[in-house]
Amino acid sequence: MNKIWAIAQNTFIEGLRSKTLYALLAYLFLILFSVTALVPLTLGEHSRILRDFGLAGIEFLSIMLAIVVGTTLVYKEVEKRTIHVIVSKPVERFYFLLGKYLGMELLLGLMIILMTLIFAAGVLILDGKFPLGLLLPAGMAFLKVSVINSIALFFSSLSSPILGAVFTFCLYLAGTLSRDILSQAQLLPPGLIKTILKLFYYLLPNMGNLDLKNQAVFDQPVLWPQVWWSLSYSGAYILTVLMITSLIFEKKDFK
Amino acid sequence: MNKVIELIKLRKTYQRHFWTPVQTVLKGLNLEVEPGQIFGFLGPNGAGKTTTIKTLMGIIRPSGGRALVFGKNSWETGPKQKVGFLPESPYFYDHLTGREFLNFCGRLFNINSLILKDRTKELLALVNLTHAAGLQMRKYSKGMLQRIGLAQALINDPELVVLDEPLTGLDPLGRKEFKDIILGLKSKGKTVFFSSHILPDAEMVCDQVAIINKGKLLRAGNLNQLLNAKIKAVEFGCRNISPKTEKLLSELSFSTSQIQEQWLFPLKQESDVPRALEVIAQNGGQVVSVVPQKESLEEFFAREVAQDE
Ligand SMILES: Nc1ncnc2c1ncn2[C@@H]1O[C@H](COP(=O)(O)OP(=O)(O)OP(=O)(O)O)[C@@H](O)[C@H]1O
Ligand SMILES: [Mg+2]
Repeated sequence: MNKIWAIAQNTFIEGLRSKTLYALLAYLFLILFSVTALVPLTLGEHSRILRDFGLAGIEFLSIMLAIVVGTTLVYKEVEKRTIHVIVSKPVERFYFLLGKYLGMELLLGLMIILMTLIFAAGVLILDGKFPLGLLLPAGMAFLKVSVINSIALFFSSLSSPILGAVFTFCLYLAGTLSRDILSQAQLLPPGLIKTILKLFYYLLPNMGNLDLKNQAVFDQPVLWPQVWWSLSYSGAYILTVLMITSLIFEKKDFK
Repeated sequence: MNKVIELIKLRKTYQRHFWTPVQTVLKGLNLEVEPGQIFGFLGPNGAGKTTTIKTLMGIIRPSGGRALVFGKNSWETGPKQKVGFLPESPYFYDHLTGREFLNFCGRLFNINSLILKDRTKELLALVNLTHAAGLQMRKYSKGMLQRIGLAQALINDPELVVLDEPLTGLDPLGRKEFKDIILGLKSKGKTVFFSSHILPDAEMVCDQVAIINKGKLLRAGNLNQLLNAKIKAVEFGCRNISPKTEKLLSELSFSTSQIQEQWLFPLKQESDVPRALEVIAQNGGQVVSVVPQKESLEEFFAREVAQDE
């Protein structure tokens, strides 16, 4: 356990001390400023728009972070041969992957908390009350990002960062649309294409499962069963991806 | 029985893509390292030294044969608890300081944090990096990376230390320090397995050597036995000799040289020594020295590799 934690911490520190993170944070402030500049132009509904933008921004930026940093994680260790130090010590390769994943989760969690606080502060200033309704969707964004993080890790241990980033992003997009893929598939007559589309539906990360954004925006009551379902779905998805990655990684030769 | 390292018909092949030809890098290596040995693993560039060491450290898997460390397959994590490893031209995490890195490495061995703190301090002093302990490793020079690399290889007080070219990138003082550290490990009963190109240095520290070329073992054995087996010449030094002595002695030797008063005759055969002494006794002169000239490791290496080519 201590070993996994050491690797996670190291990954987290590496992220904190890297420049990518600060570039993304700067980008966040840019968005924030442009939103606050735009908001007075719209009549009424200030906080609704800010919430909408805010949640979308949080999700998008943290997904970007997961993709940009996540796909380089393992690749960098292999490429720069820092992995020689770890593999030659009594550390199971699976623990290494787990440590990398958790370290990245820490980083993403921190980012999401930071961004949520910043946007909450924005709403607080405009509305005069703290938007508790933001918290759950922010948590859901974290679930989505965690799923993407596992996919990024998978590609990171398979291919180069750029290719990995492209694949991960495509999977993210496809995952967002996966409900539509299913509904399209239902319309088709039974056959190969239908089977393939259905297969796709089950392989893709189903982002729709993890979406609660509307509830925050419209202040609807929380549907707890949906939250539990999302939690177990993403948990199972992440575990499966990590297992597959570990299987590939176990016998890999490092250069 | 309880060998520290055992290679049995070790083979490693690489194939970049399935349509490119298969390249055999290790062609059935057999090797044994006993506890307490300082083992020099030598060979020209591209001979397969790093490949062998990577296999031993579980970084790559053998394509055939076996690589055993403390009797276990080298990719298992169990034996690694007792192993320390310095990679070739090491590169470590840029973002960590030297001290943080040693702490990180120690935690991968589950070393108790109090012990780890002391050991980090000791090792930083041992490799002369105390002054740079708080500096991020991105700012380390090549030699400094080599030093921190040796320190991390010793963080778990290993029974077996594997070093891939530990002496490259070090200044002459650094080499001396590293050699002393290696000899210190020997005196503590540790086993050291290292590859090197710097043969005079290797000759000074190791007691066993193996020479490989193109993935095959050429020679392995005790260093003194390998080198003593071939005494090149006996250097016969004398002074105050008569011209007749000079003439007779030069017939026995490869060449003649004179430095001030002193004459040197490298005798062609060890068995000519009594004859040379006789010449001096009969014709006048004083014997100053009789020194058997061993082949150096460097010459031995060059000859073995040339024979193989
Ligand atoms: N990942 C790899 N893929 C293909 N070939 C490789 C790979 N790694 C090493 N080789 C080949 O294996 C051979 C041996 O390489 P290795 O690094 O073991 O040599 P070495 O003895 O350590 O040489 P040096 O003294 O230069 O460090 C070389 O011909 C090299 O081209
Ligand atoms: Mg090498």
